[in-house]
Formats: sequence, C-alpha cells, structure tokens
Amino acid sequence: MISFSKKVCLLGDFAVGKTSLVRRFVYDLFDDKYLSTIGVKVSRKVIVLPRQNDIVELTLMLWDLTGSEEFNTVRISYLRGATGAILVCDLTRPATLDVMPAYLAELRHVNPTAAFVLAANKADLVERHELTEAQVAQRAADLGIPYFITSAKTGANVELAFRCLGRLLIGEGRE
Amino acid sequence: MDRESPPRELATPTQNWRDRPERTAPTLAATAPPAAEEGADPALEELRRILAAPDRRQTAVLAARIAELERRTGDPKELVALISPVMSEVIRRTIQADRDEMIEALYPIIGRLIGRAVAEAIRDLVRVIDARMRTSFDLKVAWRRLRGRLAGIPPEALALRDALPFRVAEVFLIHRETGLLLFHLSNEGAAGDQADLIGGMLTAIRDFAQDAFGRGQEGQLEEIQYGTRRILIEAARHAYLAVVVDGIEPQGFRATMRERIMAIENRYAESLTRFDGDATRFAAVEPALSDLLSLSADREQEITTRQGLSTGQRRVLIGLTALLVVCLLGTCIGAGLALRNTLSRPATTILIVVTATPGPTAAPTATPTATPTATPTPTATPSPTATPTATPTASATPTLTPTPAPSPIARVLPGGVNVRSGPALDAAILEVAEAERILTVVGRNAGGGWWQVCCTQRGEAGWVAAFLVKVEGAILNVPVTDAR
Repeated sequence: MISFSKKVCLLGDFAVGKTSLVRRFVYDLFDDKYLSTIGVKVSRKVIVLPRQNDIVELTLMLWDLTGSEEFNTVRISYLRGATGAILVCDLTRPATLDVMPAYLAELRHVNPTAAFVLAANKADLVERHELTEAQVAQRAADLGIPYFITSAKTGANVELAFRCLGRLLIGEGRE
Repeated sequence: MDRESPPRELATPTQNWRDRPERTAPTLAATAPPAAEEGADPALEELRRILAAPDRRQTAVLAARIAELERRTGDPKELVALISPVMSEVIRRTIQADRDEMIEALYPIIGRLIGRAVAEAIRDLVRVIDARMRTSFDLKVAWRRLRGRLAGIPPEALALRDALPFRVAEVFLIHRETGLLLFHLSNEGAAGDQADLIGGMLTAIRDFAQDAFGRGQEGQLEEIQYGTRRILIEAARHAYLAVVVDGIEPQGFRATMRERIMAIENRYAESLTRFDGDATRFAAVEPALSDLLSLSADREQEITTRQGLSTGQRRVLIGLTALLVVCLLGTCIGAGLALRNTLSRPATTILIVVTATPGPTAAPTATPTATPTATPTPTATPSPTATPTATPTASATPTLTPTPAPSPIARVLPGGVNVRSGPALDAAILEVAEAERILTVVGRNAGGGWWQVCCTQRGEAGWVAAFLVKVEGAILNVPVTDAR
C-alpha cells in the first residue's frame, strides 16, 4: 500500500455548508473558532483507493477557508501548495453557484494543475431549492469538473465527492 | 390626634437642617405651614391646613431622611462603613461574571507590583547562589566560572540557568508550501496521530502571521509561546522545523536547529522541490532529528563548547591551556633540578624554629636557626621582650613592635547589599552599598547572619546580611554588638 498526503481546500461563499461537510466526515482536532480568528481550520480525511494493481491510502489535509470577505487578503497564502479543492455552492442560493468560476480561477492561479470537484450542497432543503440539478450540471460542464448534489445533513454523496477528488489527485480519474 | 403639631422625631433633624440655610431653605419653606393671608376666610384657611397636613408630614419625613444621608455621606468614616459591604459584593459578583475583564483592569497595578516582587526575589536568589558559589569549591563551579568569564556572564546567572529545566517535547519537519508533515518525533507519544493536523495548523498560523504582519518583508514567525511551552521555528527554503520545548533552550540550540534544517534542505533538495505528498522519502532524517529530540540540559556544555564559543574565546581557551602546560612542565623541571642538587650535596639538616610570644606588649618573634647538628629547642618566653636563642649561627633577631590585629573587612558581593539600621530585614535601610565596596566589620549579632559594619556615607555604623558580603580577616575576635 502506498501512502500519500495532499493539501485540499474547501472553497465557497459564506454559509454554503463547507464546515458542515468537514465536520461530519473528517477527523477534527481543532475548534471551529479558528475559522473566525485566523480564517482557516485544518482537518483530515483519509480515504483508501485502488490504483492499477495497488492500493493507495490518501490523506486529504482539508483546509476549510472562511467564506467571509474580510479574509480575502490572506486567502492566497492559504491556497499555496493546494493540489485540489472542493468547490461548494448552496442549492438555495443561485449566487453561490455563479461565483464558482472565480474560486476555481483563484486556485488555478496558484496551482494550474489543481483538481476540482463541485459540491452543490443542502440537497435536503428541497422546498427551498432555487437551483436545479441541470443548472449545476451545466456550470460543472462549463468549468470542466465533476459535480455532486450533496447534503451535509443526511450525508448524501459527501463521501463520493471526497473519493472522486481523491481519485483525481492520484491520477485515476472519476470512479 | 393633633394634626397641627409636627412629628416629634423631626425636632432634631429640622434643627440641623436650619443650620444650613443655603441648602435647606426651599425645603423649609415647603414644610412650614403657610401663613394666613390677611383678610382670608378662616374657614378656608382651616380647610387648607387640614388638606395640606399629610403632605407637610411626608415632606418633613423626607427632609429628615435627606439630612441623615447628608450627615452620613459628609463623614468619610460613616461613608466607608456604609458602602463597604456593597462594594465587596459588587466586586465579588463582577469577578464571577467577568474575571478576564477584572484582571485586565487590575493588571496595570497588580502586574507591576508582582513584577517588582519577582524581580526582587530573583535578585535575592542570585545573591544567595553567588554567595554559596564563592564559598564552595567544585569542579563544576570552577568550570562555570571559567565559562562565565569567557562569555562575560556572571557565574551565578549561569548557575541559575543550569537549574532551569529544558526538554524537547516534539519535533516537526513540515513542508513549507503545503503544510504537510514530512517527519515527526515526540517524547510524549500521544500527539503522534495528530501531528499532521498540528503541522497544517502551524503552517496556517505562519502564513497568517506573514500576511497580517509581514507586509511584504522577509521576516517570519520564529516562535510561538504558550505558558512555559514554546514552539521554536527555523525555516529553510522548502521546509521548516518546529520544535516544541519546555523551559529555556540552551545557548546554541537554535544554531543546531538551523544546521539540521539546512542539512535536510541540501540533502533532499530535489524531493522537497517536487514534493508529491509521499513523506516516506524523508524517513532517513530520523537520526538527525532524534538527536535534537534527545538534547537535554546535560548537553548544553557540549553545545556551548562546540558552537557557542567564538573563535576569539577558543583562542583564549587554547592559550590558557598551553600556559598551564608550560607552567606544569617548568615546575617539574625545577623540582627535578632541585632534587638533583640536594642529592649531590653532603647531608645537612635545616630546621626552622618559630617561637611565638604572645603578650600585651610583645609580638611573636621568629628566630630562624640554621645549625648543621644542633637540636632545636622551641621556647616560649612569657616575658615582655623576646630573647633570641643563642646559637652558633644566630644572627641578630629583630624584635617586632606589637600592633593590634587589623579589623576584618566585608567586601560587598555582586548585586550590592542594603545597609540597615539593625540586624533584621524590617530594620530601616540606611543606604545601599555597591558591589566590591569594602566596609570594616565592627561587630556581629548574637544569632549570626548579620555583620555590623562601618561606615555609611554619613559615617554611621550599619548592619549587612552576612551572605551578601565576603568577610576577610580574623573574625573570631569580632564582638557581639547586638544581643537580640
């Protein structure tokens, strides 16, 4: 078994559910208060993936960056060294999907080879949805990245989104 | 009930209140029954008096209460007695509700007091250490003195430094750009599975500090402190070392860290530049980092000798060692020659007889007597004048004029000493004697621990603590001048 570690960022507007995605599915050591103090909190997600005739244990070091505007000046340094990102938008707020290209460009500026997955979150709030899956799919296609309709509350597709990013990072493509 | 008569308890307060017309006049007017207007209808007046009577009584009661309050607030003692219980309760509740705020409010006062007390305590401790070091001989102490001289640091400060514990708790080797952990060693075991998270957050904090405070400059975060624990950071181009330590690191420790990270950077330059997340390639750094981890206070001397001494200091050390070797050789050669001369001569006996004649007017008389065959006879002559022993080779023996033994002196140790009016810590300080100042010892206290010395700048005698001075001379004859 081969072991790798990769730095991955969670990017998206304020209150789209980045921290919720992290909180339920990763190993946390630090309190969320770091998000409001220095604008970032590091968590860990370990996934085991097959690669050719081998198995890869991939440790994703997830940098959950705060979505507020006041930390924009520090964000660039937090992106340095990241090899991938989960772009998170909120199905109840169309504007959060519109800014996805900006986040993607921001990381691509730092690392042109970075891998991305789009997570359209809050799938459980069906009655409040203002975005359709088709719109999300179209945006993902425009950006050339895979997408998942996720729910941090129910856990739907969250694991899949992380695994997909993991496969992209080890060069195996989508499952 | 007589409605017109004023309440009985109002008599005294109303009187006081009349004594202060500038404050109480309006109230007085309000409480006094209104004078009957000329030509007014008596019945109407009576009705008015009856109707206003309750208000007048109430006003009079209020006036009395105000007068009592004025009396109590005018007297500082009464005021303190009045508000003390309330204030205590308010402070207690405020501390319970917001302890941090209270600490911040009081810190400017209490913090300074504590700081001063701690500084004084440390100064006393250093003095005690210094006094003990001066009165004891130990190879370690001698070595420390030499180190102190070379480094320009007082030996007592080095001794204090040696007494402080130092321990390396954890060592992190972290990739600078990604924040990913490359290698980790710990003396604490438990943190192992969290090391990668700590490494990530450390990197985030470094980045945050650089972005927030660096403002485009080259500086970087070098240390994070939490209580007595600190994280020392030394960075190279692609990786950095974060070492968690307890206590104060020995001299040269940072240089060792820098040396290690530079060696790793040079050795793994290619892997660090193209780091793909595979940390197993850095397993070979373990010996270098475990060496750092096992570094303890015992190794300080090694580090100081190896890295802490400058070239000049090393030259001085080498020079001193060479001089010592030359002296030893010279002594050996001299002794050998003397022995050869002695053996080549006919046998003779050389004796030196010392006769001491104590007495009120006679000083000890030394009579060297060199006789090839004579048997020496020590004589003690209790006469006021010394009588030289007649021998064939005796020469004129000088008779020394007796002089009183000189008084012992007290040399003030580094840090100075308070000269007090009595042999106690609560005695008034007459003056502060600087280090190396010499005072004449004129007495001691019965309990020991204090010398009476002379003189202060004003010419008066005072007392100094014995452990803060070094006394030279005959101290057995120093009289007890304080029988307490």
